[in-house]
Amino acid sequence: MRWLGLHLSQLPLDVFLRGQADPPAFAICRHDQIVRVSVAGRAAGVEPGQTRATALALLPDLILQERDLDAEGQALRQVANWALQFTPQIRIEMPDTRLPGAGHREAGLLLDIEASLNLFGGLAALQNQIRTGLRALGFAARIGCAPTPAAAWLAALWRDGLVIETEARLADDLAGLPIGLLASLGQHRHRETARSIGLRVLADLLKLPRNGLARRFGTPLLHELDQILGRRPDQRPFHEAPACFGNRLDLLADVTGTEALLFAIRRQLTELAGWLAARHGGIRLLRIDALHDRRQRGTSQPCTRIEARFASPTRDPERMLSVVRERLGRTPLLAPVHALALRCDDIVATTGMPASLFPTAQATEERINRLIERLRARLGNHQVQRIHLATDHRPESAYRIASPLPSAASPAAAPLSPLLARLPRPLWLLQQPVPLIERNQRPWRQGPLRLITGPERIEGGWWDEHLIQRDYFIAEDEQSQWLWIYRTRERSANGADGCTPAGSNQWFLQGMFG
Amino acid sequence: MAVDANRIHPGLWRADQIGHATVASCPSQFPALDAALPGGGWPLGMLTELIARNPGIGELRLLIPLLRQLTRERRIVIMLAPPLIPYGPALATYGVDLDYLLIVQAPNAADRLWAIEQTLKSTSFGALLAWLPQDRTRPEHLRRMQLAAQSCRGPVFLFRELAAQHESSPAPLRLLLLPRPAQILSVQLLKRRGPVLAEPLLLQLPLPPLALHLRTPPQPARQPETTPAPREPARSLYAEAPASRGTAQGPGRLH
Repeated sequence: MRWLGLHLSQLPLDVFLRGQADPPAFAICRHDQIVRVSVAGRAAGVEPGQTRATALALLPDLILQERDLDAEGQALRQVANWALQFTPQIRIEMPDTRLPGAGHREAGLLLDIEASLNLFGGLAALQNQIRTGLRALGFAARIGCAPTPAAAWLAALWRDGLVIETEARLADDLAGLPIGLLASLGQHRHRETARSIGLRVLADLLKLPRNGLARRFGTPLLHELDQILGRRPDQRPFHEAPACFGNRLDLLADVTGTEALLFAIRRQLTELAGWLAARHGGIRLLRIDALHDRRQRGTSQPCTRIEARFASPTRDPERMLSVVRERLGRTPLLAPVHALALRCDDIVATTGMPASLFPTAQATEERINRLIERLRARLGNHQVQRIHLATDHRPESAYRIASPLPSAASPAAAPLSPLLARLPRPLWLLQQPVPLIERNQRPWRQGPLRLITGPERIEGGWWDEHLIQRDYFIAEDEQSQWLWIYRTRERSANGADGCTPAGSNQWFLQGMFG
Repeated sequence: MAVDANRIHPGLWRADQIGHATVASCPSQFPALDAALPGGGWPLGMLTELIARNPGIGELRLLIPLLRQLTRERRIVIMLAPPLIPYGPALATYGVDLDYLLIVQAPNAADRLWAIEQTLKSTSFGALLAWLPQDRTRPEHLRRMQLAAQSCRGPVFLFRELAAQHESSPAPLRLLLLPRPAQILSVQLLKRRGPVLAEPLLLQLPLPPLALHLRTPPQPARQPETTPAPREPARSLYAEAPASRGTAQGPGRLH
């Protein structure tokens, strides 16, 4: 067994500050006492342990907040969701408010990484990847590694980067661990007892006889020591990923700038990417609601909705961000944004991308899909099109504008009919046929038109109200350009329905041969 | 003294030669044109400007052989902001596979320039055909496009209006297209990597299937001489016409 302890050392601060590109001077206080201070606050001399009044005297601009345990728990679960990409076996270490001294207890995750080491290229590489990821999420973390979960947790609390290779080395490597970090010695009275008999580090405890320890500190301490050294099973439930993903990021101040919003959205997308990787899934549609009211929980109040669609299922945060960036640039915000709620419901199973040296057809298609979604994000969904043929002999009905991405809903394209393939058709079609005047019984467009071939008679459309009766010709204009023109045919009296002006044999230009 | 300039530096060529070595290309399938183009075809990874008075003079049929070849190789051809509707049945008749043709509409000039640049940056298309907004295109736009195009593996065609022929442009290849009688397209090479070509090239455009005769030619006397030499495929289609007429009942009547 090999466990990785992730200690989110600045969690109380990070839940407030991680949406901020440039964190302000900020402190967490508890009962009139400063508990945690951000970097900018420290620089001005504010320290944990000072009273509110002292801190505000030192730095009048300091933002003070009570610790938000709900938000911390939520953030911890979100980090756990993200970390599921590294291992399915994750335990959450959460500060327990019911125990005495809970305010001092730390939060973090325990990851069973034994089975993941090969896939991620060894312990060092995995640690790096986790650290980079947590930085992208906006959490400070300390990492320790040990064969038992309890030891890994203590290693992370005690020394960032400590790696204990085998169970046999546990007692030696943790000998210098201050006993104040042990959970079972959290009570004030136990700590006093330990100090009075000269116990400072873990080695001191391990030297003492077990029954004496049990008498002074109770059996929980013995259990904890056994669990650290791997002599007693340490089983707690693993974290389970929720079936659908949603996260919410509260911003410290009201934000209007696109870049500031994108900074926060990048955090959320990184989280989403981890969760998707754990499920081997991707998304096609992403919804981000920009909430404008501090107290707003649901979406009943007005919010600005940003929807990003992807041409192919994806879990690449950079790709998602590039589309969101375009959408955000196009979406006017109703008001300054106070929180961002991200949702995606429809998870599509995806295959991983093969790591290939040469560009593959799959990679090219992927790039085209990304291009399509970028273009669609800015220009609009209907501006990127494919042409399908339709089985209709009327020129304007013989094709259909289709979505660029094949989907089950869109009907398949019809093949080119062999008859149509032998008839002249222009490469350019006009949006609307343009009426042509007639001079000397010849159609006229900036000069007389000379008919080359024709007529090709096209009739029909009684079934869908677009009845046409036309004779088509290829005509050449004075610049030798070939045009596709037609003349409407006069209706018989009983067929007249008002579609064409009565009695007209009007010429129209409908296409150019390109 | 016949030192091959290309051997000194690949970007170097004599003023009386065509700079072949640097240009990756794919054939236009018009032999006369291929012979005159550096690299022997449409250049890849650089801009080609096609300047024409208005759409429909034959600029699309000039590219039809290329589009047919690319789409059959399953490479995506992107038409960006075409001025009219590219007509699917005609494209399919010429053998273009519509599954690999992508149309992007961008009515707004700024959007269109943005879309062209994005497409060039994605580099994965088979060919890009883009219609530039004439009055909003500045030389710096073209320079950016030329830079972006350099990493592309496909030809990039920019369609411009006549006024553009007098403007300077960073595009290494600039063609002026003019229609001539009998479906001949005159192609004048305004700029290429090589000597100036004084005479325009005259290319016979691929003709649409002309299965239908003109039933009553308005000026029968002029008819034969204005279509002097229809190409072989066209003539064979004329020859087939009576047979097809029989099945289509009369003058190409379908219903």
